[in-house]
Amino acid sequence: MAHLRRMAAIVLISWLVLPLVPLAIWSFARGWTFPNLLPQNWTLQPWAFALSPQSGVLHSLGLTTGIALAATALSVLLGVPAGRALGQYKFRGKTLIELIILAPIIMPGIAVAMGLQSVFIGLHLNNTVTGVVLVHLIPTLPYMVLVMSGIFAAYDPQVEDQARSLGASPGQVFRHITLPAILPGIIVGAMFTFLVSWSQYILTLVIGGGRVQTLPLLLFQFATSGRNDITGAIGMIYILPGVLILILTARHLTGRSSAITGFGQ
Amino acid sequence: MTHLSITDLSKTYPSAPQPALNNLTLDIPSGSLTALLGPSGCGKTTALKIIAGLLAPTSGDVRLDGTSILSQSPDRRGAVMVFQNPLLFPHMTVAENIGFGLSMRHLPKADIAARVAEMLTLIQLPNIGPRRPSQLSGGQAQRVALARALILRPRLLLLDEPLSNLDTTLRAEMRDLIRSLQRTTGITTIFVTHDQEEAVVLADQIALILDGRLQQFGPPDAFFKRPATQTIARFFGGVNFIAGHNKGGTFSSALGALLVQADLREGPGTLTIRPENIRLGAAKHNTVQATLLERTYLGVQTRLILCVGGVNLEASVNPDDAAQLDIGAILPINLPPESLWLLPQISTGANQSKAFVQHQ
Repeated sequence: MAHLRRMAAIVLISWLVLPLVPLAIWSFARGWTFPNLLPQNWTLQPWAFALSPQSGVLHSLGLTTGIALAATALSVLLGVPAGRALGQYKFRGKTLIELIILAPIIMPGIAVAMGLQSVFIGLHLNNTVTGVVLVHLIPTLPYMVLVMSGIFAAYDPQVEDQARSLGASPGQVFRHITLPAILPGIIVGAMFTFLVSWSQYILTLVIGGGRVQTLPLLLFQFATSGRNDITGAIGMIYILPGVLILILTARHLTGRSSAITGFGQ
Repeated sequence: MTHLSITDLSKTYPSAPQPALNNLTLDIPSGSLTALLGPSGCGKTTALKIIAGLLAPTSGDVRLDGTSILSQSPDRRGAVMVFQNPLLFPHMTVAENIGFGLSMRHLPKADIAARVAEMLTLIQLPNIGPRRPSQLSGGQAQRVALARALILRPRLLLLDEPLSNLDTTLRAEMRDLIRSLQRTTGITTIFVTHDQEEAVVLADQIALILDGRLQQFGPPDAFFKRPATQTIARFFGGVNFIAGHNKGGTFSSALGALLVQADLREGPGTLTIRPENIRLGAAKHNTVQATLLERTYLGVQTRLILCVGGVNLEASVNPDDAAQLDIGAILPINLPPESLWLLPQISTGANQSKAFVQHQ
């Protein structure tokens, strides 16, 4: 068991952390040429530029966070009732609906984006932040619904009746019974949503029309322009929420109280 | 002390053609323990949920001490329901579970703690307060669920199959606990069960419900001594039914003329006698000659199948009395007049009892 755990830690580190090491080094490098193992000179200049107003990083950071938070809030609002319906009730066409909800994960993003662009133009939602938030629901909502339907499949709605009978008002039932039962699922679902929205590239590019400059778009710009040092610095900022979320929610994602059980029943 | 009266209560679910509950009328005296007895799917849980306010009836009324409670929301009725599953709240400790109802009423924490401790003593599990529901056995969880309801001192306690998830030993223990708690608190209690024996042992009176309809309501012994129909007699283990005609205290049938009690209804009818009331040997009244067809030793008693005038009768007798009897022997038996009961001849029984067997 201890062996396995150590192995897993090693695999995780080499998989997730090692690829980031060169990126981190780049962000402090001034001139790093082959075949040198480390940069010849060290500097804080890429960071100074990345955090300065003219790079646009701070603006993009705020915008990306705002869009991700809005998409997360919307997918909680939509995903919790949908998850309850799918997790608790049996009805005609349920399998079909589950498939449709999962479809956006299966479909290539570029195809979805191209198809949706004309629709969004018709609705005057193209090139707007609102449009980008809405289109982010396509890849994020499935995760939310998936997590919540698993939570609700394991939730006996009779506890709500029981609580009512014991003298709790509908509001109290929600606060003291329903919410504590589904909160782990909401947290995990919200994390997924936030991260998927945070890392969205194609959908933001197509629907935002390049005017909604989120962090991945900015990062890509610098990466393609060959500025490895600035790319490194922005890259470090970019992975920050992912790392934070991983640390904060590791215990929700694995182990006995795991929130992810798939479409339950 | 609360008197419950249910009038013409009906419930039809939108998807079902048959009403789940059909014109149920019951008057439940204050402080009594009443069983709603019937096979699963007969509408008894539906009735309980309507009283608790968790389900709206299609028609009818429910009154507590004369006031209709149908317009009151479930949390204000003072009618607390305990479900078949304990349904303890998994994110709370046992003490928090038991104190739940009081904390919803915003009682001071110290008062809640004191009453929770009192309840834990009452259910004979004084030390489990800090535990989580997942650490309890089935029997313990059921007791905690009961305590969680009793702590509210409800006007009406509604128990849905409180013993059905427990094994035999725990079941007897829990049964005694419910009985003694009900006696000490005097809370008017209704419990739902499909187990005839459980109802007989626990209840002051039984309401037998079949197919959504009330069949008979009365003290347990009435179901054995004076069942209203053949179906009810069968439900309580009646097996001997003799067709005939009653006139002036004499019942004429294939068994000959039998003396019956004078207050039985006159006219055509079905005579019934419980297997344990058939006596071996001759007596002053109603002695008939029977052929022994079958003898089965059951430990505490021996079951005999006897044929009298082409009618088969089943008798339960003392094993010592039956040990010497040979199959095919002709022996005198007697049917004591005070043990004979007359059922209406045209019984709705045939169909209903079949339906009941399918339910089981």
